[in-house]
Amino acid sequence: MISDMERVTATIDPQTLSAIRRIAGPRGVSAFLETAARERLARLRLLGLLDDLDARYGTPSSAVKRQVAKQAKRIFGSRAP
Amino acid sequence: MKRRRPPSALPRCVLDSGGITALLGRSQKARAWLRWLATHHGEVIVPAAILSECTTGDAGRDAELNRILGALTVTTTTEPTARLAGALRFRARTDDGIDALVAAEAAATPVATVILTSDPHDLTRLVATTSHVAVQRV
Repeated sequence: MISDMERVTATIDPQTLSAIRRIAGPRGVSAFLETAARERLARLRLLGLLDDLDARYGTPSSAVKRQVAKQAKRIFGSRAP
Repeated sequence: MKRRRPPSALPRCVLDSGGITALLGRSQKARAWLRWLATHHGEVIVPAAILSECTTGDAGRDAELNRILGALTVTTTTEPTARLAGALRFRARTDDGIDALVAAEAAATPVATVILTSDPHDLTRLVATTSHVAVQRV
């Protein structure tokens, strides 16, 4: 498993690194950062796809966006910004 | 019908084959939902079982669908989730195993989850006793 990995050097501000270590533990920093990167890449892939579909079929109307935001707030509660 | 659901740190969504094909079918609502989820750090799950309903095995016919699936996470079903699907299907007295797997994938994690589908009727019955799962037509 380790042989599939590549070592990189990254620069992180001490406050962020300390917060990561508090959650992930001193030996879990790499796994935490890898998960965060995977999630970010997945989100960017999805947003890229939606940009393509919107360019082809037209952006959803404001009314549809408002309706979805309202339903989302009802389902996911006030934590959903 | 309004139901109270437990709040979740991150929104969660499960797509059935109708939800996927709604994206191909130019559904504004499907795209608006996925963008809302992406911008709110939501998790979008595609149970692998639904591919049996929307793929053909023909590379040309499936090309557009494969492009969409490439941007999503396809998950395989575990034994506990399959057993939960059986229980939901039995309780709802339905005979659609794929819908039951979609419902179970949503119900298996105890955080607020939305199922996006083009046909909410059976899925709504399957999750009727699962308060943290909502079904939305797209």
